[in-house]
Amino acid sequence: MKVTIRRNEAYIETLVEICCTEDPDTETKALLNKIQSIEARLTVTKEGHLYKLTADDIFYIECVDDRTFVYTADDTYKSALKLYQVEEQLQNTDFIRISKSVLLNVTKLDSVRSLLNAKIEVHMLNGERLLVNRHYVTAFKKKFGV
Amino acid sequence: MKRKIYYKIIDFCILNCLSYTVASLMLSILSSFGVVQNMDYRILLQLFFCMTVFSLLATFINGFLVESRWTRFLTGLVNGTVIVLAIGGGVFHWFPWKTHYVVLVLLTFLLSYVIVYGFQLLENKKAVDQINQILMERKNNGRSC
Repeated sequence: MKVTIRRNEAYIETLVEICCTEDPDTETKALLNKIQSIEARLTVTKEGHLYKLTADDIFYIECVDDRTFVYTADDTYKSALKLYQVEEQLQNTDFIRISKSVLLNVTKLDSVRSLLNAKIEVHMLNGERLLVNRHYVTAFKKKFGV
Repeated sequence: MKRKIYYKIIDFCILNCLSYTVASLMLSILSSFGVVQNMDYRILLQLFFCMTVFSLLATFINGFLVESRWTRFLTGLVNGTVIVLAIGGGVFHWFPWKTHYVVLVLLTFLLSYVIVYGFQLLENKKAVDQINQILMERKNNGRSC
């Protein structure tokens, strides 16, 4: 992949233009996901304060008793959106559904481990552990091109 | 939704190919020892039909099961036993309904089932190793993933 950076004070904001074939390769797709992760923002609340998190800040999102919680490296926020709405908002980013109630950011993974019940245990960079439900295992592997 | 169905179809195809391969291998071994006789293309086609029904049911039933290793294992076992006895024995008349034949068929199926289940676990382990390799490479490249 060739990278060209043009610096010019005349630019008002950063412009990213990707030139590729009709079917982008894995590296290009990863780059596109990364850009979309930076651009995608989620409005969340914590103790009455409103915050805007980028997808890149978020480790995972969990739905508990019809309420949606957003987890960063060391904080927890609440979102007014339903999990499927968040999933729609974070489409084409590095998020993937790993169970009925959890959306995971695959860029925040430290390692994974296979379990005897055909599930996968994921170890996050912040030390937390989550389970990939076996119905979502195939999609999870696919996300890594496996 | 479309993607979910696509992944289900992939799972079904893998299970079908794997179970058919293992079952035909078991039959070939039994045939070479003279336990199974008159093994020809019809038996193999019938076996393929049985394994396809088994894989379809397993894929369908797994969608409704609770997340327990043993429930999944036992349901698959019951599913396969019913198919082997009902379709193999009842429809295709693979074996006479005598106790020792039924026990032999069930033992063959049980062994095939355990081998298929083991292969699935190994496949999962291999995929996890590959994912860990990718994660490691990305870490070494200075990215969080």
